[in-house]
Amino acid sequence: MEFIEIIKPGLMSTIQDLGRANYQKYGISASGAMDKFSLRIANILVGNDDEEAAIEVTLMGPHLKFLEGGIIAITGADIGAKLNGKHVPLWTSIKVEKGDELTFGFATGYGCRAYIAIAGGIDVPIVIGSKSTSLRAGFGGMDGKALQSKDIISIGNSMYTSIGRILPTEYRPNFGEDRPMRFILGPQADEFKASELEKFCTSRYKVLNESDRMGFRLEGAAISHKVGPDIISDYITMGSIQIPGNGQPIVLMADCQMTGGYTKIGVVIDVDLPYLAQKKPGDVIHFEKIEIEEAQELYKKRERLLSLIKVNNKMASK
Amino acid sequence: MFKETTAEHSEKNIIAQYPKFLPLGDQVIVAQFEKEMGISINQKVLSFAQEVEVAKISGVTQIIPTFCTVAIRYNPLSIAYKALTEELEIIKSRLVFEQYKEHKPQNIIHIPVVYGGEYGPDIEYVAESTGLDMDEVIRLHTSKPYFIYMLGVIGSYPYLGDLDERLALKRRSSPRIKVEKGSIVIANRLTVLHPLASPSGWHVIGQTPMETFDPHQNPPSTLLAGNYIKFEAISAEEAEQWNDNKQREWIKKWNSLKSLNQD
Repeated sequence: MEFIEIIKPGLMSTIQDLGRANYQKYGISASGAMDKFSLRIANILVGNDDEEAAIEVTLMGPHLKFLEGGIIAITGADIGAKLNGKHVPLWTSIKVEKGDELTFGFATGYGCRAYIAIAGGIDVPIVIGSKSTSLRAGFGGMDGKALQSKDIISIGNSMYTSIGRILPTEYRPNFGEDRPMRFILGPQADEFKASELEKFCTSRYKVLNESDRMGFRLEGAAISHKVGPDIISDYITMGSIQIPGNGQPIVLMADCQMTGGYTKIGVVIDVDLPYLAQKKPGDVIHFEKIEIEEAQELYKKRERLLSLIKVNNKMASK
Repeated sequence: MFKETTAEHSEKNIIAQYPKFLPLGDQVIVAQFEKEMGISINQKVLSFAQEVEVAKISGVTQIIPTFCTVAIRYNPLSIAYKALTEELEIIKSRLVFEQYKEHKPQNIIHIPVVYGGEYGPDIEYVAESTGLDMDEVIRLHTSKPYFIYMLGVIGSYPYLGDLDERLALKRRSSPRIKVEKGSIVIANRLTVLHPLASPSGWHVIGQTPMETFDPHQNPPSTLLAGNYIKFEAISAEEAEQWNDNKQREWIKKWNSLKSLNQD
């Protein structure tokens, strides 16, 4: 069913789900939502499977028109969403009517990515196991491209009618909080002296303008290598922190290549990736080393929370 | 907070030392083999990847071989890091890595290439820098099948080796923002086919009109690590007239069905 017409696409709006990480033996870039927590919650609120595709909106949001009535939810950063000129509550399922218009402003507060999920999910072909747009490879989503004016987005069927489903405030991520990006030492951590690792953990890094869905370039204390920055190319994943020759870290993000040839000092833990993904150029971040056992405990805790939210939502919307 | 690491391993330990298991974040374990580029190491990588695949460890979702590592993706809800490492240690202890013997390459995929001109803008530079003439560059590049070490980048880019050492050049000092889809590039002892247009700092010597990557097919690539590719020189006219039919004829002539889509 044709559901949305794009009036203006915004700075960069793409269709994303959880990506292709599990199809990478064919040398495929993973893609997928930058902030997967917000994506999954948006889907849950509209009664979809949490891995369904939604629209990822970046920094300056789009202007959309609904061609049919339905249920949507907007999560993630506050980018000034308005429905027919009236503020839309985030983290809440709402009803839209045929002819309604959804507009966004700029991400002026904390965070820079919002997710629009629609009951029924977005109906685009599944390409290599995912509906995610891979801008660099040119496939997935809307034919491998960011949304353009006049694009029509179709959705699948849904019997879901529950509006006013809300994610309780205590579970909403606070993107403004000054929290460390926790990481596990990377496979090449022994390429750095202890003093350099210490420096990496005690310095603050600014997210540079040259940061996008592929990776965040950081500026701060340069980290030097014992020998050099190059390794024989191997597998890289979202959250990997590379230290290239100039010593300024690059954190790889959702659209990163699947192989890379720089030393990886560490990898940001999965539960902290949504917070990192919401950082925008000019923001300052810092890192904290934790052990893998702790990271996996945090991961399990987060997944338990998501299961609980799913169950509650199902029960409440019956 | 951080202790200094030392070169702790004696010569004696080296056999049992590899692969080492290291975390790459909380959902990937990397099996790190000797940090060398070469078919003998890569054969170990592929045998290990194969064994992990066969073991069907619950929670393992993807096994990705590279030059000298195997990346194992897993779901921490199903198996914890420590438990998975133990499973991998068992596989490692069982596995005897046979000395790699030069064997006749199986599964050779032949790929047509137009060399030089607008299709290979760097071929003159390559000829000049290596002291060879252009025909000799083409002859060397097409002289033997190349081993597919790994598929990488964004869309099944095969990393192939080993290039004749007479063709070995450092990467370009300024990478190109875009090389065309189908470009065949070289640097050091490697050559890569670009199934998609993308940036590259390598030397572009030719281009193939053949489609090796189709995201709408399953699997998306006709290439797989461990197989071989042999390049065959064709004329610019042949390339310009290339279409689905020509590709089918080419595959029929050169590439047995067995060598394609085998998974």
